[in-house]
Amino acid sequence: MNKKGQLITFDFSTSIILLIMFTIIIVSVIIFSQKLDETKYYEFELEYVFDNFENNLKYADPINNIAFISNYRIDEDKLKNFANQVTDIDSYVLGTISNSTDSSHGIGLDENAYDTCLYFRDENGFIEIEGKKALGELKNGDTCHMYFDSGDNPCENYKQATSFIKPVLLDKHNVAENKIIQMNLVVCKI
Amino acid sequence: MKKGQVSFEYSILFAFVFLLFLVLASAFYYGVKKTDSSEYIADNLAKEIKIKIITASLSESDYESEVKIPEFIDGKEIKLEVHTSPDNILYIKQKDSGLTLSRAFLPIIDTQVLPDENNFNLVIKKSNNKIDISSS
Repeated sequence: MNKKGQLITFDFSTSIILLIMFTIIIVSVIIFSQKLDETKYYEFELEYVFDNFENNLKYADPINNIAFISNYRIDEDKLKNFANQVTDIDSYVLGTISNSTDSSHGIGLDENAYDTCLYFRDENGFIEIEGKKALGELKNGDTCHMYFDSGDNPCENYKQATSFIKPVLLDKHNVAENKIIQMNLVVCKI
Repeated sequence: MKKGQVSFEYSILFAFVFLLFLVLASAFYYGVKKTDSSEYIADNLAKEIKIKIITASLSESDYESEVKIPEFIDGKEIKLEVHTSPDNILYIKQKDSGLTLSRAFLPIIDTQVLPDENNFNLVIKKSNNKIDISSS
């Protein structure tokens, strides 16, 4: 026959083990929920990408003459200047731009956390700018043009993709040639 | 001692531990629910502040707007922290515990002067292309 001391020790130790298990579960859930909280982000800033882009272009060095968008109007010559001078457009779309005397304030997004592509379309498809279907560069060093030219999705290897469309007037400095087109921004979250 | 008595002791201990578990679980659930509610209110407040600062950032002309900052959220006293450039971040915390209820990344903030006590109006001002955060 077992002794009483041994039996109580067995029961007591079983209870302690259960207690420890429950405590661990509860503490783990508390810690896990706090970790989730740390990774919470706002995404509503993306609503302001077109406005930020237009605002940032005003702060680019005037000598470069690249502020191509103003009040739904795209200046084709300035757009070509932009395409020739800027390869990575992330800071213009999401971040901040400075010139020698002043700087923009941005919309509170980290440009390093996103890659962006800019392209224009009309009823005939892509409007090429200086031979490119899309402007912008991705994290792997490829250009957005390479993806759009081959029909691939530039955001394929990213966590999240968001597309924005804005109707604009393409100003070719000739009233007969001006036309309404779609300005498209694709934002890929790294 | 009989075998039946051992089972009885075991049952009592198990019931005690299980009861303890239920108490802890319900306390945890209540805590999470309460925190969720506080975070939801704090998130909305942070979002309101951020939208106004983004509006100031994108404004071509000078801009000024105010947001009423409450003293309490869900009965807990809160603390508002605005960190200027290069951090540019807003924290809404519980004053006692320091628990962060909400945070938001902001446009570049040039200067900020906020009081230690809450229950004030947060003033967001853009002048000469500088964004300043103060209180009134």
